[in-house]
Amino acid sequence: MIALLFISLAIPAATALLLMLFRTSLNQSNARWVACCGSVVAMLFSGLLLLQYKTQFVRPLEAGVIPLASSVDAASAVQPRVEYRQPWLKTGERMQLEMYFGLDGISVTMIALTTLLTFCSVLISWEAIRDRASEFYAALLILETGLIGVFCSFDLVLFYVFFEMTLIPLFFLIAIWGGAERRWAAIKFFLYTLAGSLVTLSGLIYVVLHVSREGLANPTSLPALSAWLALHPLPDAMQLTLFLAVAAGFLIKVPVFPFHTWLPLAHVEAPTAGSVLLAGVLLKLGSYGFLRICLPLFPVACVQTGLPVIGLLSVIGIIYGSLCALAQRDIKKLVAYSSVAHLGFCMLGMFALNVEGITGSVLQMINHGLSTGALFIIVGMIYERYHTRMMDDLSGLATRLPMIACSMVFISMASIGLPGLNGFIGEFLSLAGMFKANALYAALATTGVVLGAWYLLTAVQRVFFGTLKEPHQHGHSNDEITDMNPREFLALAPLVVLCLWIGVRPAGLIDIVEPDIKAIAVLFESVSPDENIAALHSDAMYQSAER
Amino acid sequence: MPPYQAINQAAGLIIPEIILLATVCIMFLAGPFLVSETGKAPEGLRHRWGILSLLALAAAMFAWMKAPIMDAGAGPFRPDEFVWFIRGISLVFGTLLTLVLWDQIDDGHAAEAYACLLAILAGANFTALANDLVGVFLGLEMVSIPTYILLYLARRDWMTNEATIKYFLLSIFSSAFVLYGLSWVFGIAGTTNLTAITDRIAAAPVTTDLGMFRLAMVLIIAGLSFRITAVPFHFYAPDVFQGVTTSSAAMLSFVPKVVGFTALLRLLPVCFGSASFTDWMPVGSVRVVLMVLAILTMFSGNLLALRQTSIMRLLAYSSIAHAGYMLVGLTVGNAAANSGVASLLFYLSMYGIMTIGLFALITAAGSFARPLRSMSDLAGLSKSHPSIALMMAVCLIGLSGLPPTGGFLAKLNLFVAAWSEGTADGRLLAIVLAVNAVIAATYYLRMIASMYFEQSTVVRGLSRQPAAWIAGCVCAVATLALFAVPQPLMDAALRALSHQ
Repeated sequence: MIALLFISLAIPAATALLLMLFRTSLNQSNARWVACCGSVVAMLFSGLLLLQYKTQFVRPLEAGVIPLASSVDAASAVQPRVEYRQPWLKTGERMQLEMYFGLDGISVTMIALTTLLTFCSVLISWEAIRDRASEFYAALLILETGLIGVFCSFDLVLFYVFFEMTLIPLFFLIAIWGGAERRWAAIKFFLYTLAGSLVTLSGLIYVVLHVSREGLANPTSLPALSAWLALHPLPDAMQLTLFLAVAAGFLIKVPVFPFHTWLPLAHVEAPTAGSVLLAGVLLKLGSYGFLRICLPLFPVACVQTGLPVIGLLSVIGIIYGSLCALAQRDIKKLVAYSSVAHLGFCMLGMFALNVEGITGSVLQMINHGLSTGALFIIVGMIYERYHTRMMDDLSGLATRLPMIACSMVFISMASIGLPGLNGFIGEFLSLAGMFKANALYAALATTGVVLGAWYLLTAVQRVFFGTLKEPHQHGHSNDEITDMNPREFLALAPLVVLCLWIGVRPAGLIDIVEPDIKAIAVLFESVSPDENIAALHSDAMYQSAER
Repeated sequence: MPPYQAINQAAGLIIPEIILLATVCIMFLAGPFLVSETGKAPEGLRHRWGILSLLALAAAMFAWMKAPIMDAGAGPFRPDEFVWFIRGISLVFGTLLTLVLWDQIDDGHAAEAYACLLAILAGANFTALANDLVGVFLGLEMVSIPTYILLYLARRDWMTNEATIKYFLLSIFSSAFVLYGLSWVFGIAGTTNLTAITDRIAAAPVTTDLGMFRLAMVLIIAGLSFRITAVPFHFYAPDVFQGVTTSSAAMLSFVPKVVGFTALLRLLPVCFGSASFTDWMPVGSVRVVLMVLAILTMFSGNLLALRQTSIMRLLAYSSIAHAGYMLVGLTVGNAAANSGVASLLFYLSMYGIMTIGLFALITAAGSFARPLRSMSDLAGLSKSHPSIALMMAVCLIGLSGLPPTGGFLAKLNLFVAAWSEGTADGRLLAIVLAVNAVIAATYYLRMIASMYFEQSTVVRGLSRQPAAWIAGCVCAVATLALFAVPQPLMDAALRALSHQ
């Protein structure tokens, strides 16, 4: 299985290398076919990986056996089921970096999401990217490599390396192929996230050195570190400081409320493919980092500070993001602000610190990737046709573009959280988790659902319904504008199908991620005693959600 | 032991340097006869001299592999593991610098230029080899004096003249500082042999509190700070980098740093009476001096680099900032579990690869008549020279310390070493290092941005400088390769400190 992982990691990188090497001899159409083949193959392999993971590790779960990778301690909150370890750099006695790749349920689903969205991004850039096409696709595929790398690395430094590596291709994607303000957007995005992640790195190194001084031999290995910290917890004050330091980079990446200012700018200026990957996967690196690193390593700080502070910030983010989205006239900016709100639900669920909340949070990561990815794709389609994203210029497009209007309505419903579609499951579980932890936050956050319906339905109504109004086009008449073509259909269809499929049958997804979430949630049971009851109830609730 | 036998024995320890210096003599002697009285030389003469110096370097490398490694003795040289490492650096990077120099020199002056470069490399080796205060000083001078000639040879306009004179005056001034400091050390210990000085100072530990000891340390550190361009001894760097040719700037950005840190690493432990690097760290006032230098150098270098519009000035400030990062390693010393000195040596090698690569690519992108000078010359480079722009981007990402490059691991090592020391000073240094990494990212990013995002304003002629291109390519590949496989370099750095 680890071979499959390496193949899905290597194929995008190899394709990118190919595109760069033969840059001069590849024209736009060759380059996109090469990129398309690369992304399809990577997607197939990661799909195969998901299937194999499911047959191998999800079935034994029913029999009560959870096989772990050989070197992993069962007490660890981070438990890769398969792993590959290779010494990397040893400096002195205390620092032993490893090339430590592994897989668990959360990473395997996130990898599948990444490859799927990359495939969609390649399709959606088919006509839009004319300038320096092979470089564009190379950057896209390098970004994919970095993202897959983050999700499968279980060594702290390796994690950080991939985390940073994603910055460089996205910087180029925004700065070369972006909108009018692209350079400033790219530099702001880059420096903002770099500054945050250096604070994260400092915090991580502090933990590593502290623990190695206490006697752990391989402190950068995440499973070993979390198992060790479960037995020898850090003092509370130190946990708090380190939690804040490590969280800094992730808070910016998510982004949680006061740190979100880079996001709308980067989203609006990025090309459609960049926005899809930025919203779909890149923001999840932040929440994934919280889940993988902050929760297992600093449980006390998570309960004492994370829940009240980050919970509150998430609530503010949900309401503020929704209100900002409501005020936008640019559809892309609206979707960007809706991301702030949706990621608020994700963080709210995570810092409920119970099984439902974290499950909801993980589902929300995937759902947001699917539905916001799809929204950006649709916005991109409209922009490609009319060269405007202003809602004032557009109206009644449903008569001209029925298929696009139809999918927009569907995806909006999924994003709003209509029962039966994917958004509902994630938001419901997150809120349910938060109700147990802090009912006030949950109640406030619920208003976000209402606001979400408000801004998205308003946007849909203004753009697609009413009397037909199209901006004046230079050179050709609006009659030439056609509805969704097969290529665009192919880009959007898998996302739509998955939205529906997760909505009606979330159990398939929950089964994969649940054991890993339980391993983390166990840490917090001692802190809030009624959690055991919650764990019992949660199974019943998944079934109700399934129905 | 009869004198001739002692000389014979000592000569056996320095075969790589003898090879280099013999080639230098041949070049200086034969060079003038191949050039006419008016300074005209047959077309393509420089290629022959270049190949000769590459052959000499290859032979020296072969001798380096075979050279015996032994611990401190009473003789004039001590070829220990540390010397092995420094020799490796100077020979490998010397080869790259030869390639960068290839098309930057006219046929008439090629012999002298290559000879100076080889002499500089031999001087760097001698600084490491010396087992004597006088030997260290001679090594330093053997680097400086050919440098003056090399800077002046390649180009003869008023900017080069000014730069060379500036470098010459400040360099002899700093040499005087070092020499004065060394004489104080001689006054304290009563001998010039490093091994004997170590023993005498170790026998009387109070000496580190002596006023004259402090004076000696301050003088030596000040003099050598000039070589490594630590602030406030950095003032010459931007002017000189801007004035001289790109190949000379490449040499100046790296070799003096190697020599300066080598001399510091040779002299400081000895003056602390520490027989080996293994548990050496600077203490007391010397530590404070080094720490202040490190912090000042990092901040000044990076902040001043932010507003530069000339590439060479920017790279001069960037090389100043990197000296600051390396000083962090020296300040931490070798006592912590993660060796600061090993991190310094690792960083020095990585920095050499990235900076020489960058200079080589800048050389390759310009032509001898019209080199790349200002930031606006970089605009649109990705369109006119796509491969050079890509490799430059790799080197720049490496210099800013971002993954996936060896530069990331190098900074990480220094950061870990400073942090793992466990003192407030160490943490302060680590934090300053991290903050500076972000500041530095801004201007490296600006260079990448102007290569990739700006339209070209100048019409660029096609330049053919394959040698510099090859050097740049090797460096860019090595920057990436040392990220994937860093352990051999780290092992070499750790081994260099294992004993003395």
